[in-house]
Amino acid sequence: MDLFAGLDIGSTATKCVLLNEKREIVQADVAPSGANCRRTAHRLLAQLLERAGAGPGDVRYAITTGYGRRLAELGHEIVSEITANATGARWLSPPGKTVRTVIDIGGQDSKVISLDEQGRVVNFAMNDKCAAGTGRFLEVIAQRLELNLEDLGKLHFTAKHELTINSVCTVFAESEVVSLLAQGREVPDIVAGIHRSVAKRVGQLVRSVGVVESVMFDGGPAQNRGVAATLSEELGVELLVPDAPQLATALGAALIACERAERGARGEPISLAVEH
Amino acid sequence: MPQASVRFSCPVPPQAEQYFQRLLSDRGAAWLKTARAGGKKVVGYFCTVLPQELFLAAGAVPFRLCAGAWGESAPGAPLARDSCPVVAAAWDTLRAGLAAELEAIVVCTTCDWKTKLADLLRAQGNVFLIDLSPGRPAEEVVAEWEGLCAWLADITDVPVTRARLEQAIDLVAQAHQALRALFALRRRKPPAISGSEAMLVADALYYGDVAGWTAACRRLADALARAPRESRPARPRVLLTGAPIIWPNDKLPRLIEQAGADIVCEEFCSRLNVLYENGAPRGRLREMLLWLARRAVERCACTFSLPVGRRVALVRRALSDFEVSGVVYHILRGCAPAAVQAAPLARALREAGVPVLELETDYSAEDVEPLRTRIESFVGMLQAPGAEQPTAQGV
Repeated sequence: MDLFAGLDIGSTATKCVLLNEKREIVQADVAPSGANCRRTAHRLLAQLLERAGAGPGDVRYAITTGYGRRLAELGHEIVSEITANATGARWLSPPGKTVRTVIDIGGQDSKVISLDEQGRVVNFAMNDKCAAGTGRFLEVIAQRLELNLEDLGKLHFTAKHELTINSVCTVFAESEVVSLLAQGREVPDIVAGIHRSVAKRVGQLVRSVGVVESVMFDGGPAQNRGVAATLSEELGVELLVPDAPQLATALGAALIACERAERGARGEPISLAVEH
Repeated sequence: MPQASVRFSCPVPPQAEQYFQRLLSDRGAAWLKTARAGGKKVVGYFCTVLPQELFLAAGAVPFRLCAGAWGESAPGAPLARDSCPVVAAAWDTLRAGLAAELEAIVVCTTCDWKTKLADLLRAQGNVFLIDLSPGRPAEEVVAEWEGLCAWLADITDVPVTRARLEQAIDLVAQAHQALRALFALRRRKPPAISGSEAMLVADALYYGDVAGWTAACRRLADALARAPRESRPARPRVLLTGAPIIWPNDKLPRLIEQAGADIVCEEFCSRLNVLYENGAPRGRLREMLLWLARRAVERCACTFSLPVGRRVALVRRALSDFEVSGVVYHILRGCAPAAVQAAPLARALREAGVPVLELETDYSAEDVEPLRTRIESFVGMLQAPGAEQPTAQGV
């Protein structure tokens, strides 16, 4: 069996997609990166191979991307998240739509990629080196509200009076949330305010690059329909959200792996360091 | 003072390599001591906009103080929170002992940080402040130069004469010619010297040993011109601009090179006015001073004084001369002019089809990995041969 692997080793989650030579997804999954992203990446790939009834010898080409792309010491090539995400997003374009802008909110970075008609990356922007407008921001606030990340999306649509969170700093925003709770404000109203804060922050980043439709929204927080709805409202455009938005970048890496193999790149057999 | 590493990856003649290693490994400390022991008066100064020629004509050794991460802090309070790193590093270095090696310090009003720094330094020693506010005509700057010459002559007992200035202008012109010869080799594909190494060599000129530097730089340029051309796949060619990057602050250059790009040119305050210089003048003292003033106020690519339109023009000229594929704009945290200029410059370049990456950073190592992610993505974008047509899968 010939398989092509894309691993997106993020600060929060490690994502892996296995494709066959027809570019069909054979297996795909997500695991928390944890403190040892190398171990997580090796373990996740081993699990997916096992589920596919295959072994490391079946991986013809593997590409890593994301924050842990080097630390993982896995695979044949490293590509940037921008390249991988752009490739994944273009592949996921629905029929009749051409993705020209990709918004990706990740664990510690948020980024906006601008593509030309041919799918080439022509510009990109990333957030400042702080957690404002990233998944980590949502995670910290969810913890404070004693909620799961999934609950945030559901509660959003039950808000009656969206509140304003003034601070963009994660730590200060958390203090603000504590004050709002102390004032007896409703949790859904706070949640909607938090989503607005993320959408405003990311919206600024998107406008710095320019909004050209179609716009795709991916990354883990894109699963939160509250964030997607607020961001769409901020930007005044429809956002295309793929079924598994968290996997878009790993899928892109796997697609590039396929393409490399087709162009004759031949990777050495990979070895997985997985303790039993 | 911590030792700095000076290593070359290109074929450098041993004499030239030893020269740069000796001069830079202790950031000029040993060279300063030797100069003083030989009876020379060493005068520290800020901004390359100040002509070395004036100091040399007055018999002084001009030692540039604009500092790139010299890696130590003097005890006591820092300059200010969020200070310009160039000024803060210079302040720390002066307080850590460099000040004792200097007869005096010259500061230009080229930015607020430097103007206020002059205030602080004045309490501690002999300081001369030069008014180079943006928009001052060259004729007015000549008066500043004359004042500086008289002040220097008091320190050195050497008056600046027509003959001495002519000699100094010739000496520096030879240095600039050597630098141009070296930088011409960066136009090659691939460039004959890496950007970070060329930047190190260029910055070493401002340690004040102009004749010694010129000989070493010539040797280096001659050897590289003769060396067989390296054969390797083409890499994206990057131009660095924005706030100056001063050795040994090679964080961004190294990251750009590690990501697989070549830095082929810098458009900094200290660079393009040298690269695109016209012949040195002969004539009366005042005419020569006027030429030096014009070079300072009309040609220097200082982020503070240069209007953005002129900067765009300078960058575009370098883009075609050095066949640049992308521009990295450096915003030094604390340098407001560099930050303000970033957006209009980037917009103008993008409209001309030139990819631009804007990066804000300082001298700390804490942001190396986030910067690496951004730089690798940018280099990846420059490398992309053209994306494949997507096959619709559906959302």
